[in-house]
Amino acid sequence: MNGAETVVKFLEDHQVDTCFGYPGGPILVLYDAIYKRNFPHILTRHEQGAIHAAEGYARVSGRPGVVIATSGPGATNLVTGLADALLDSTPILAITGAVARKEIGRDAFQEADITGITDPVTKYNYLVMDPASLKPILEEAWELTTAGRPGPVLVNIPKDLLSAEIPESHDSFSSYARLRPKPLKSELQIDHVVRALSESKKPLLMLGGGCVISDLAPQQIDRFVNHTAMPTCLTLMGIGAVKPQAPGYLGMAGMHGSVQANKALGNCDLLLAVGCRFSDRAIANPERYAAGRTIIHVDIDPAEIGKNVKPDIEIEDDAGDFFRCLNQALPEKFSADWQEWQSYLTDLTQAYDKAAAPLLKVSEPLLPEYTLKRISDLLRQYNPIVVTDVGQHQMWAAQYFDIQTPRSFLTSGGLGCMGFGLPAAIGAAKAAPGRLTVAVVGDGGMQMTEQELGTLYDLQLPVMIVVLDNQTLGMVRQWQELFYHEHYSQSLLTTNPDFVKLADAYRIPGCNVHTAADLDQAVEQAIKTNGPYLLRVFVRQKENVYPMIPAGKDPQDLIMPGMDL
Amino acid sequence: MLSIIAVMVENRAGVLSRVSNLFARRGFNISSLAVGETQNPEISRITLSLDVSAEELAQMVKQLYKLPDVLIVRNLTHERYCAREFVFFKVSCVASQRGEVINLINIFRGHIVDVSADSLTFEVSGAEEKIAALQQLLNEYGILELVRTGQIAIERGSSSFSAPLKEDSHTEEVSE
Repeated sequence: MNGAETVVKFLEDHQVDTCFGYPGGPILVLYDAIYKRNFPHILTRHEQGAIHAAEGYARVSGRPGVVIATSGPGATNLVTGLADALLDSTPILAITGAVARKEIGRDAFQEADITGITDPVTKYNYLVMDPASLKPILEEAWELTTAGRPGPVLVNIPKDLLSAEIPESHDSFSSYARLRPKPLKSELQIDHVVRALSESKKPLLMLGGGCVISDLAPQQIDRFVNHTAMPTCLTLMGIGAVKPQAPGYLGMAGMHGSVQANKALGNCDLLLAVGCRFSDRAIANPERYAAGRTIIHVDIDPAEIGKNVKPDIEIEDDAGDFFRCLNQALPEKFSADWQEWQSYLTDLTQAYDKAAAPLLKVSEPLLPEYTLKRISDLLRQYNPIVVTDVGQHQMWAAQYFDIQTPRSFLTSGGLGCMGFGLPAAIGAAKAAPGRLTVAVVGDGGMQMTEQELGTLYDLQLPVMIVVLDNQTLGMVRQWQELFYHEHYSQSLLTTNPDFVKLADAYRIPGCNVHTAADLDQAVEQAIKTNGPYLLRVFVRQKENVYPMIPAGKDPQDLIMPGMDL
Repeated sequence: MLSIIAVMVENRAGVLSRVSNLFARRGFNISSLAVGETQNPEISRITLSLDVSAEELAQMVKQLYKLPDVLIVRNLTHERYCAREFVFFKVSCVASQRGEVINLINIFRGHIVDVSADSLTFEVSGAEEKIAALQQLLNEYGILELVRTGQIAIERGSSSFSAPLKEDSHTEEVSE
């Protein structure tokens, strides 16, 4: 068996049922093996599309997404997706071709030092130089993608090695044990956690992405919040970790989080943060945040604990294992003195709902908040997967979509990478056959990866693309309005294409949406189509995302029009 | 806080650049880094000396542990250890000064490796303070070149590190 066949056999052995990629020079040997073994492969229209699709696939399925690209430009086009996957803890196995071993370092055609380039944006990467190490490296790489905190791993294989005969090997790549400090597991700390919870007057639970991707977590969290009614907020990546109707639910915290979540974050005396990393977007100013409150930080990655905020109690554990342990440790009748705090937060929730009500009214042009809330309501029975791009629409989607299940809200959180939405939605839909996927994208991000309409046409997946078209890079425009004296520098997109015609050119149906009646009809049509469908929704250009924590301020200092905070 | 850290790594391609990239990327300042094979040629030992706070050091060690190349990290600062650095000096020295410079070299237990009409090249090894003291004395003559390896360090006593094989079931987890 040659190197290429070894790779394909390896993928088959690991039950990989699809991969995303783009052929080219040095990787052609692998594509020949894919052809000969009839291995399932999805051709995207750009390598960035391939890796975002693999990310979408991985985030929905929980299994590593596999992406294949050629050397040089093929591999460098993966870099954005690798960085995204690293920050958002997404398991990705990237396989790239390299120039032949004897050409490495000579600036051969389509040569780039891809292990060097991707070192800071992968969990780990490999350049395979010895045929005997190919199989062991692939095995180690596969395991690394999901070990502990998931992330991207890249294996770079020279062209001649793909054609070379690969000796049979059952050795592992590394022969030595990696010694690590004994983790401070939940069991060792749980009594402290229970005591801190019962002593607290103003506690807050914050759930991050780790709670979404831990298999055990959602069920255990559900049990915990129903038992304690502890006030609970989510980070952007944590959406889906708990149902919005759970007792104590406050919604998303952070720069554009709800009033009640941010007030709770700013005023709590105890923060139990699970599976999150205290990003500046979630917590505003991590350095200032820790003062005057007890912080319990639970994360599977020990390097996250103490990186941004020094906790009082640290626990290195999987989110699900932590909550299981916590549920066991809690007395059957848990009682704490939280009433005052809870009623303060309930009042805030009601006041915020009241202040936000005008955003959910029918108007012309349509308001983006109304649009997304309406789509969410119309699709409730389908429990769709919601995938966003990056910008204003991303925040509105986070605020107004009703997400009931984990792995159902996919967004580029840490990297904030425009162009993520459409290809990630394709990968997501591929991972969940028959389930409706909604790609919410802006007119800016759509144009970064719109060529993937071609991929979507090939696959005929039920992806409903909602382009919120405000003829501007909305979030940039908002910042320029608020902080740059309304200097709309390079943020107005007055020459947008006709996105419906663009979809039509790719044989994908769609329609323009101007009114509330148009919207309802279009959504109905999209559902009926049961395949790709594009809605171009014209929305108010000057709409800003609120609430908002102004730069440099703390969560409790957020602003919301119509509320005196 | 001055610290000395020993990092045992598997001798894989690019491991040194991974480790140094990590320091650069996370903004950790290291004052010296020395690397070489151990008694087991498959394993290299990297000695780092750095001046960071305890929190920064803890974070750095955690980041190092995320690299699969890293087998173990040992903070020698809290142990009994001995640290040395090897240095070449080339000093400006005419015939009339030779006697006093050689005298100085002898006091610091250095060895002369080359002499020319107006220079003297010698090697010396020792702890950081010793090298610093010698450097100060030699400034008077004019240091033409200074080449140093960076500090290496070893634990005192009979304790030693040998990497356990993966199959060994009794491998222990390290304490921090």
